Amino acid sequence: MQAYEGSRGSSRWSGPGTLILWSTTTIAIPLALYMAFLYAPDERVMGAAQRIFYFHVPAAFVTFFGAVTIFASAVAMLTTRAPRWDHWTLATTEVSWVFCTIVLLTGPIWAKAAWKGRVGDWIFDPKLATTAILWLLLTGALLVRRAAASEELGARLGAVLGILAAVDVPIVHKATVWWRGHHPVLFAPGKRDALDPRMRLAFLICTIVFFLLFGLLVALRRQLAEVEHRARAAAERASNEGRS
Amino acid sequence: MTSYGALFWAYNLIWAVIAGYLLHLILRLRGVDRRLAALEREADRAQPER
Amino acid sequence: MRGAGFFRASAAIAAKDLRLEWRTWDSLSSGTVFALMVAWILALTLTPASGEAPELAAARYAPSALWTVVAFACAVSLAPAFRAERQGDAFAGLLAAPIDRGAIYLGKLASGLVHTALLALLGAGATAALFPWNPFERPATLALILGLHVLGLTVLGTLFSAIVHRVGRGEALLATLLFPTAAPLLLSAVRCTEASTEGRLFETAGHWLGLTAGFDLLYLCLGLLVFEFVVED
Repeated sequence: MQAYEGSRGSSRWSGPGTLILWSTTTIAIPLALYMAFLYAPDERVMGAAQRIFYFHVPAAFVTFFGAVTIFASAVAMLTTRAPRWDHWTLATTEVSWVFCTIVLLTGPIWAKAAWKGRVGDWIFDPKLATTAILWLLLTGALLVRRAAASEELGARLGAVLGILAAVDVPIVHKATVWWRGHHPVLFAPGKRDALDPRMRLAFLICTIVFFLLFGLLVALRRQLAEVEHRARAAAERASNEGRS
Repeated sequence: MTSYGALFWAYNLIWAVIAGYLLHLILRLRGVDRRLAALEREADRAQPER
Repeated sequence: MRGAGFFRASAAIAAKDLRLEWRTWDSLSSGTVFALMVAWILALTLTPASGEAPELAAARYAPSALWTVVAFACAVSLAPAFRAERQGDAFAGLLAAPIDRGAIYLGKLASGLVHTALLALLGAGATAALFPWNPFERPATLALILGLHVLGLTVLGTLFSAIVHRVGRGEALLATLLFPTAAPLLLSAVRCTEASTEGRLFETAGHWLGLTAGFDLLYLCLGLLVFEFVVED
């Protein structure tokens, strides 16, 4: 078993794809910050507090997009059994988890500030419930991976749980929407009717930046997973040779 | 952003978490790279002996 | 079990598990105790304040209490589903047999369903006794609601139980995985039970029944598909 066929030595942030992601993200983040804080006008009702919408909502988009990527790579992993797909599954699972945590932490902060304490209105909002459930499932998937005796078992179980989590998300969302019996308002009133074009542009830029960030973090995490896999294989090989 | 103190922290939280994760990944990548390089050097040393 | 058909294999596995349960009462006893305790605590803490109409409180709390009891009872009774196989490497023996992995899942599911169905009935009885409420007034709709939702809980619970046992973690992890995934089921169960006590199950909660039926079918298919990835060596 060749532990490290292909390029030897440094596997640091190599690859043209990753470099492109790095450069575009580095440029795009200051731009997004400018757009969100300076370019976009204050919202009518909530004022400056509404600006978190430019970060919180894109983070949510990215989280749910992440669930789709988890599903795709998990299916690929289970059908092909290639370690490569496990690295993608692990990367997408972990990065989605990070963004999911961000959404969960910032949402209530925003809601508390905006609604000034009417917790009951938003605490079981469909989007919050769906995000919370997704977070629990992603945490479970990551914990099971860690607890598995072998890397291969962890990969399989992680993929299975990833698939179950991703499939559950739309169902949970539907169920929680029905449960409330009405559509609770989460966005500030200004959003539904004629969103100011400047706000729309700022929102678009921020969404793009978050997707770029997602791509960058997944690329890095995948690389880390691959290098760790190779290191583990090399260590195993070294210990086998030491014994023989 | 002026009157909502909690909101200010929320904004910072987002970037802090993302930056923290990025840093964490980079550090881990460096560590594993070093380990892999060391293992490869060891294997190289072992090879000529055969 | 040479050349056993798919369903015959499942039946054999289910029968073996049920026979084992009949001898040891392992999963049903823990499930029963837990169910009764949860029901009792809920009844105690949800006692309406003086002045509040008890029927109102019952209509509001009883369905939720019932499904809290059933949810926890299912988790507790399904957690040891694969415990017997884990000991003594019986898993390897089972996998060596020339039967479809899906048949193992189905067999475990069938025996698990017997346990959870019994516990669900027990839960209904317990809440009927502890709350001013009678779910058995409409036995057909009760059976439908209990059956449909407990099936979903068992489908998921069996799969997660296998995963948890592969990892050797405490069976508490089962609840952590099961409840979030089964959240739509539990929401649907409460709404359906509420509608059924008002006598308007199909008009008010028809969409919930549809959702649950779809959910059950979806996860049953998924379970059959992915089970082999969980148990293979």
